[in-house]
Amino acid sequence: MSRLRHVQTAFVQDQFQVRTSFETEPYEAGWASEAIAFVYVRAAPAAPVPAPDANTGFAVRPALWVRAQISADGRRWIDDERLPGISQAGNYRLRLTHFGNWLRLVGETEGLSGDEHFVIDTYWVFKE
Amino acid sequence: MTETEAIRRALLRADPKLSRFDPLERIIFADDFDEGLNGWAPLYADYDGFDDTPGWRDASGRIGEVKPVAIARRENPARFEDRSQIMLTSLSTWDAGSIGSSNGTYALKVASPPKPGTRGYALKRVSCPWWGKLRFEAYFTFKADHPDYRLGHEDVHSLIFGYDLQDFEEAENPTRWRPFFRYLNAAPDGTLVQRWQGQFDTGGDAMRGSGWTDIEGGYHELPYNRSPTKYQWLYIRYTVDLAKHEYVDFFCHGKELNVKRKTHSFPEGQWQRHLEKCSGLLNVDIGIHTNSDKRCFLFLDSIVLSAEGSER
Repeated sequence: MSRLRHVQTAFVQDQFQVRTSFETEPYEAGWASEAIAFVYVRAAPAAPVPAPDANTGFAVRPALWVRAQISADGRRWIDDERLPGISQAGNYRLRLTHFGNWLRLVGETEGLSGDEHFVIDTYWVFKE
Repeated sequence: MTETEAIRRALLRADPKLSRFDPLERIIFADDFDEGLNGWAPLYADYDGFDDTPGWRDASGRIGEVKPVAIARRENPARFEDRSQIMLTSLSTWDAGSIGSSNGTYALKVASPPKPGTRGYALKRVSCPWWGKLRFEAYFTFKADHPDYRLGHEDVHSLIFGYDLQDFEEAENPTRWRPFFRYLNAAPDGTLVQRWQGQFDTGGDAMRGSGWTDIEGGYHELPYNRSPTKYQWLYIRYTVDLAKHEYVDFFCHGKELNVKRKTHSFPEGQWQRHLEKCSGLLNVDIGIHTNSDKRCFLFLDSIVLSAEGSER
């Protein structure tokens, strides 16, 4: 008898404010063979007037770096796929396969000052 | 015993999946989490102006409109913090690898956030044409996370098993009641209590920790094991009477507690307005509360909900 494939969506972060870094709740998705992390960036700090960095000569814009991590034991994590640096509001996705069981997203910011922060919603969408 | 009942019982006992349950006449659902989430959802807000967005609702208490989510969150952000997910776990640990569930590979994992006083819940909202007895049965186990490799028994505050029940709106004096049980494992200071309690009072809020009364004879050392990664599956069963608004029975891991004819009701006017748009709702609630900054986990291998009584 044919059976439709399982699919499951998890709403992981809800209007989460990222100032320095975050780690999402470790998620067990061993039943799934593919996963997509949806990262909806609702708000990003305004880009400053470009001022060249003393060393590189490039302007430093506020950025959010997001990557997936995998783990065999749910406690020691290894970097997997990553998104390019995010510097403006918008919708982003990270596609994963061969991730085993444990999954999480981690993020770090750079170039933020004062109370500046990103506001994000993240979802996992898994498919068998 | 009638011949029909004898045949039914023989069929149940010959079924490897149902033989370990004792369901009433009609099985509303028999959820095995090897087959997916089966309609269980995490706890999230109504956005309707009661507990999640105070002050939104007018004095009449009628539902005008559900508040736009974004406004509700902006006004009461604390209500939406500390999210945790429900997920399908293969009970994978650092020292044993994947253990699997009691009867298969996957169990439902209900987790509290890693923050003292927080909670994690799974809920399933059903309705039922047989309006008499309603029975919940499950095989479950529980643990605290152990990033420090400690046992974590005292980190688990409590396990919650209950129903949030609403009469059919056409019934005479329809109302809402919440027969709930709590296994109070440890006080917030980490002292083990290990006692079953119930919601027999009026006006308590089971899922926020108020209104609990000790059940006579309810001291019970539920097995936790001496290792943070060894799981012992436990059976629980409880029954209520939807028509009489009474508790019927409670049994867990070898202990039968007498709750017969105990009742639960809310004070006049309180909570009862929730009936609107939820006529005949049978909301099955299971949860875990934590004492510490470690996640606490309630694992469900399988759950059977059954009923008997006349149709309505």
